[in-house]
Amino acid sequence: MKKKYVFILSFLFVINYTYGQNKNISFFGLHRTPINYTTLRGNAVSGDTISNKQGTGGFTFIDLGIVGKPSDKISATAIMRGKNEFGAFFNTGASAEIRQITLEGTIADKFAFQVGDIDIGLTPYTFYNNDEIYNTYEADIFKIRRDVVHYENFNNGNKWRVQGFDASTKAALNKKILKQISFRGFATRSRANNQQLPTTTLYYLNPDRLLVGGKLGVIQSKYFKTSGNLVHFFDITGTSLDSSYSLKNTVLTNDFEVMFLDKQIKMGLRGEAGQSFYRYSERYPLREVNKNDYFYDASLFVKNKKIKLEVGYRNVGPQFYSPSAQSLRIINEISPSMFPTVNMGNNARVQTLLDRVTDLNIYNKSITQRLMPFLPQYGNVQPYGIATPNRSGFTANISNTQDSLMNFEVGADLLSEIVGEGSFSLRKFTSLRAGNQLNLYKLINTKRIIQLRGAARMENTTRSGSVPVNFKSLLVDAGALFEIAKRFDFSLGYKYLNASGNEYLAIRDDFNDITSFNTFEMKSSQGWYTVGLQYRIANNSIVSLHSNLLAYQNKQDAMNSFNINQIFLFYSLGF
Amino acid sequence: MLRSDLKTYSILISFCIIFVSCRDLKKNDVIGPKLEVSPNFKLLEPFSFNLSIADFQNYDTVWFNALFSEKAYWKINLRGLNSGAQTSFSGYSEKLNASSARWYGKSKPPIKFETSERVVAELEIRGHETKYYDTITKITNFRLDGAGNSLVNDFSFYDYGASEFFFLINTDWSEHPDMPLQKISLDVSTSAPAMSYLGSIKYLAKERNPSKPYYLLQDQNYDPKEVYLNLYVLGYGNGNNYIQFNLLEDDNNDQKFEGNKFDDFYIYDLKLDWIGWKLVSIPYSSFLKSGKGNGVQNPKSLMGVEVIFHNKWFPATTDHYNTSISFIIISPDGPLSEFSKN
Repeated sequence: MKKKYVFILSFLFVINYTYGQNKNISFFGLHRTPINYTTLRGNAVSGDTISNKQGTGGFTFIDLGIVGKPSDKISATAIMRGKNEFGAFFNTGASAEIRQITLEGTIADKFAFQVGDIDIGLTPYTFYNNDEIYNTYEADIFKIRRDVVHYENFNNGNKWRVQGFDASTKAALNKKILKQISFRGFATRSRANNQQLPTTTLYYLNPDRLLVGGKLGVIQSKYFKTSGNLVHFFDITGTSLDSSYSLKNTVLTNDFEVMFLDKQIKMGLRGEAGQSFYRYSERYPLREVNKNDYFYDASLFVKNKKIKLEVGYRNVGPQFYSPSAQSLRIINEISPSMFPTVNMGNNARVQTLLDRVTDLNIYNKSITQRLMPFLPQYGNVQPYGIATPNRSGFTANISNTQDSLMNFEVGADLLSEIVGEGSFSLRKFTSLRAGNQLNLYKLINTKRIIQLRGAARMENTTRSGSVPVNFKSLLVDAGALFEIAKRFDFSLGYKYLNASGNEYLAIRDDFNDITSFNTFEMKSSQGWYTVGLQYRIANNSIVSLHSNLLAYQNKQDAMNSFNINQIFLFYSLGF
Repeated sequence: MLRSDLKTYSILISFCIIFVSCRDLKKNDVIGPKLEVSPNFKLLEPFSFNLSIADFQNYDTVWFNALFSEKAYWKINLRGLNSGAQTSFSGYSEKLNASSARWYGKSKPPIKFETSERVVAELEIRGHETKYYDTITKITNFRLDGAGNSLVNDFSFYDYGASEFFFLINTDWSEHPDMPLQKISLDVSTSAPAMSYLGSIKYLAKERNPSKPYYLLQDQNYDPKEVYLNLYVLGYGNGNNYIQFNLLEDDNNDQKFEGNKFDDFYIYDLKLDWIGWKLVSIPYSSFLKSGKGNGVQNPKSLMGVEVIFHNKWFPATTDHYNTSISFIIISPDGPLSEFSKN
């Protein structure tokens, strides 16, 4: 433990000394302290002498970033974290670690590059970290909680945090045929081999797994632009003593945008099409599977300064596999880390809305070859984002184009399976969503923020035939923010999720083949009520106190219903 | 728009159409095993209990028999005619037998089956309208320390969900000489090691205590010198065969095993140089440390056991070795004593 503090002090000393010697060094940092006191009540733990029913949790950390910039062509950033779990000072909960090391710069003013811990994203079909649930118009008070988890898990927008390099260049041609051409390439190691671990043959099986790709973009004019995208996810056999299996998954796509009209009203066509080539083999027993499939997605859009309308059609093949666009942000098959069991330890507690917004440990940081299991109540229509395999149909979306008194969106997806899962009958999917943010302070012309938010998403899945499916869910968001004194906010938030019906959940093996189905039946509702006070110390610094109540009602089995009460105190200081 | 733009765009679209012309599956294909049976589905052998009267206290084990005309998803619902207690079993197979599902008298909480109660079993076949029935008379309640649940009965790979791998024994096994050993076969038929994973450890062996017949391993801190991994192993006298046990600890308590980051695992290689069944008891403290956890042996953090059957000298692909294991039990207070078997 002492070593950690010696490490921190040494680091601070080096910073101080270096800063004194060199003005090309700059610093930034973030200090956060989330603390909660939480209780679990209800039928699920009534008389339960084994499951935990209350607890406090929290930690404090400081991320210190140092940026060395010897010239304007290159810079190196290191972020070091000192962290203490509450109740574990000078004990096992304290830790010091390097959170990020990145080198970035330009070569000959032509090539930009990044090396180290980098965030990468391409298109929604190639490299995309999908949102865990529809949350665009959720209450501000929930966004504070979500931001904590996203920061901890490196969920920077829809990009994936990876380790490797990323380089790009572009050339402005200013010619009639081509206006600009750009190129980007990246290579990352998504998993290291584990042969360095001693003794057991079990741990000799993982070879290095790399993820490489790139983008070649062309802007022909303001009327037409296109790009080719490549992502190759593969194992390097031979990097472990016993390369018992090998993966190669290549996704090649082309995206484009054509403008028909570019005046006050803009109109055009945009889309993406491509193919995946999946090959996975195992030596014991010898088996090799090859699956190739394609997708296309095109939409017509019309927009002016205030509003945008987009109508599209897409077809994503049942065997279209794009791991870096289909890996889930949340691991759905594990129990929450807070109160993992109920009913005398006999049942795992289900993940609730509160867990999925606040539990650091259920978030996934890695790209997985296999389609991960999902929970249909949180999204059954497109569980893997718009790259969800085996979907075709129409989509539509209307939204405003600039921040105004009222920001809104209304959208719909009317989809169907392309090939049946376990049945010749095809599932039909309907998803309707609407969200709204009303900036009342603009209406009454005051500088104090008064904001109302609301959203709803309804999903419906049906299948006829001898193995029918009928599954519905309704997600509702509501929230309000009142700046009752300067920088001092009073916030309200409400989330509601109702899910009922039956589904058949696919169980997949390492080859992404469906080997069986789990019968899934649910009739449950959950409501999350929260109220809070928040003081904005500065633009990136807040202190906040929330009171939460989550009521989970299992309507099939009342013995699995429970309530969670939580007091949450949060302090965040950015500098 | 310029004419040349249209031309460029047309070429690109044509390229895309050619590019995406490959899809392995056709519209009338089905992904995964079929959930529905064919219209000609029938029972080739009737649905029935193996017993007409079940005395669980005397270690009767109840299962179901049936033979289907094709592989099917089935569900058996049991309902007590007096109590209304219920439980169910489901699976996907071509027949029902002792290995498909076993009933030891338990029900889903909160209602329990009554003694001397008639229980009706209803067999549903997914996608098939007809249901099939049989009844049994249950004359005693189940006992937690009975047969069946105490056995390792499945080596499902990475089956974290199963909770019945480890069970108390709070009984003198010599009282039950008729209880057969149920075995799990492990074999090595190629140069690859045979591997199996046992799921989460939940129950511990402990002294007889009817009010609380089992203990959660996670409940308290046990001395690694007193905690034993016990099991029966069938040896064939081949001194090159080993079973490697890995005890996986969840040192950072995140419900995941991360041996290359945060967690320890402890290894023991057991040489199978005897012939016949033998009770083996290995103290936790004699396992060798590996992994990257806190470096402290802590049975409270134990979250799973890996069992790997391997041959030190990788055999030729034509060679074939096997062994069997049974009654894997974690005991917190010393090794288990031998019990009778046949």
